[in-house]
Amino acid sequence: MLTRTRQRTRSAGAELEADELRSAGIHVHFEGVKAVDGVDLTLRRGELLGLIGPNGAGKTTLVNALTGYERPTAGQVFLGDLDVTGWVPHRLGPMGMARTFQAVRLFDELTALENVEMGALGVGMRRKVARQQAWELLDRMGIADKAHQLASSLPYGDERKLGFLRALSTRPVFLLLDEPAAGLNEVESDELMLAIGSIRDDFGCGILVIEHDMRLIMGLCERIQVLDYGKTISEGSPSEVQADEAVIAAYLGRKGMQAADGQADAGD
Amino acid sequence: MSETGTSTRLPVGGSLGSLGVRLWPLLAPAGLTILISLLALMGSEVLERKATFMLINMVFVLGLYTFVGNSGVLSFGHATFMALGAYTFAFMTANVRVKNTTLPDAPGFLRDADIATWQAVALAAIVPAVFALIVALPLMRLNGLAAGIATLAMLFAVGVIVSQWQSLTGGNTAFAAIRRETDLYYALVIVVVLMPLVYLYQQSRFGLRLRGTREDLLASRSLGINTVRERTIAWVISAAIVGIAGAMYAGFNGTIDPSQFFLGARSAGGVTFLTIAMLVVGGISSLAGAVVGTIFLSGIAEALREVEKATDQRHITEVVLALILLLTLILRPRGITGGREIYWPFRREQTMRRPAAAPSAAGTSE
Repeated sequence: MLTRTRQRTRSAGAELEADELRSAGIHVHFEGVKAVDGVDLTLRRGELLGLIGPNGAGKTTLVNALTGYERPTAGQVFLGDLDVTGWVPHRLGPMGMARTFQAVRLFDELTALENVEMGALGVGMRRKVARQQAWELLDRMGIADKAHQLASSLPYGDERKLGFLRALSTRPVFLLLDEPAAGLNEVESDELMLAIGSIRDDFGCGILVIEHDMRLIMGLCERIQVLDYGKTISEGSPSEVQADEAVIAAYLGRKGMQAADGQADAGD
Repeated sequence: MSETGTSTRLPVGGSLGSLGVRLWPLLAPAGLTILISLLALMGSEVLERKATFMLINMVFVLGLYTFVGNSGVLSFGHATFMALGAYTFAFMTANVRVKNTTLPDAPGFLRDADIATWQAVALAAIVPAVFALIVALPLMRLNGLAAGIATLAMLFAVGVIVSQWQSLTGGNTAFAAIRRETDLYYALVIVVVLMPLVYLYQQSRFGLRLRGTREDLLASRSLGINTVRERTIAWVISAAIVGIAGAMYAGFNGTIDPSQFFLGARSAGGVTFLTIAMLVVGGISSLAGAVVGTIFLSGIAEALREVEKATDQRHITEVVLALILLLTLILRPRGITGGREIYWPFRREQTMRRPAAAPSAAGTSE
């Protein structure tokens, strides 16, 4: 529904139709620490890609590099055929890139509605269009009744939903979610994951999800890429990744893996 | 899709009333300002002049609010724009014979300029706006304390130029014989025209984007918002408004000199301190705060000046205003209004209403 009413107001033009976001040999080094050490990643349109790995594996740094928040020490980022390496974040937004933050980072002193409008305004929509779309999105996540509350007054679960909606309101072609369910209880995170799946279906965008909760990510994504110490150690379908020796070694003894096993069994 | 198209229209019936409720954040401060001005009209001539002076300060604070309130970046330099506006107005309207005598070395087109007041006011908005656009290139990239210090540097630099460029401005000597047309009506008309513009900007997509950068710089960038561009827009609008305040002031006083605008031994905190105090005490991030703060501190300042006259003690005003600012920062850092607008106090649900019959089913039916 929303896809059809989409406003062609971006300046990007043809590049918008890029069908993949791709990184080639991305390195991000901080004073000797190789946070990301030569990662190739491809996110296709309409795809749900999970990015997992132990703490400190470089997942967030990789997303920062893809979205312009971190300049790669080496390597390139492509939107389709366009080299966008080193582009500042606000240039990437109108090109169809959007992201969320682990810490959500809402506009506290603005209302929930204004928070969601902001994404649309950021990519150049008019206030009226942005407002109508914001209502639709709030409705979709079931928080339209809180539209006029200040973001700072919302409960934690709604904050995370709002952060997701705000990114979504830019009408992204590629959406990068940094631990969208962090801190949510089981019911809330299931709800959110369901919403992420349905957004992908309706919007046809490519969504990358960083998540610690293996149960969630195995149930949601078709393809999973695993990082450890800044390198890709495995990539494939959830069942392939779980069977991978390297992944098991990286996660050895971690509770998450056991939970993920249970989920995969039940899912198949 | 057709249902959602119609659903965003406002509730049918009472549309004028609901417009009033929606515009209340503008109507309330505007109404308060008009009311106070009319009350002053009924009083003595002295009171009328005090109210006029309050309105001049209000225009300055409205301009300051447009940039500082929406961007969250503090500026100590806005008096620069006031000075530019005041000198522009002075050159354009001051008595030609006097100008030719006191400023024989100034360019001929300035010495002989004698244009209509409204044209001079427009020019007093344009000149600071153009200047603001030029200095925006380096300034708007700075954040936090660095930005504040840079605006202060701008104030000092322009202050030195204005006071030392003897042949153009007459330096520290007063620029006299400016056309005195600023009275209460004139000032009120300007306020009544500018206040909706300031509110309109705040509510526009430009204003909202800028408020986004104020709330979270990093997050706003991820949404495609160009901080430098949004700030520059507000900065230039803000300079134009403050320039008009300068024109009003020049036309109110009849004479101007650098000490009225720039910091120095003679001016103490001067207009820079007074207007920042007004905005902070009222509430930095709302139009209501700008208006309430101006009215409140103008009232107190005028009362204190009476005390000064009665007791023959000078500078009581500055000391007390500084104390009020300090107390506000400690006890109510978001100002009297809490940095919020004034919303319609009755039938609150009407302002809170979402579009009628919003598509709750449509959103989930996919």
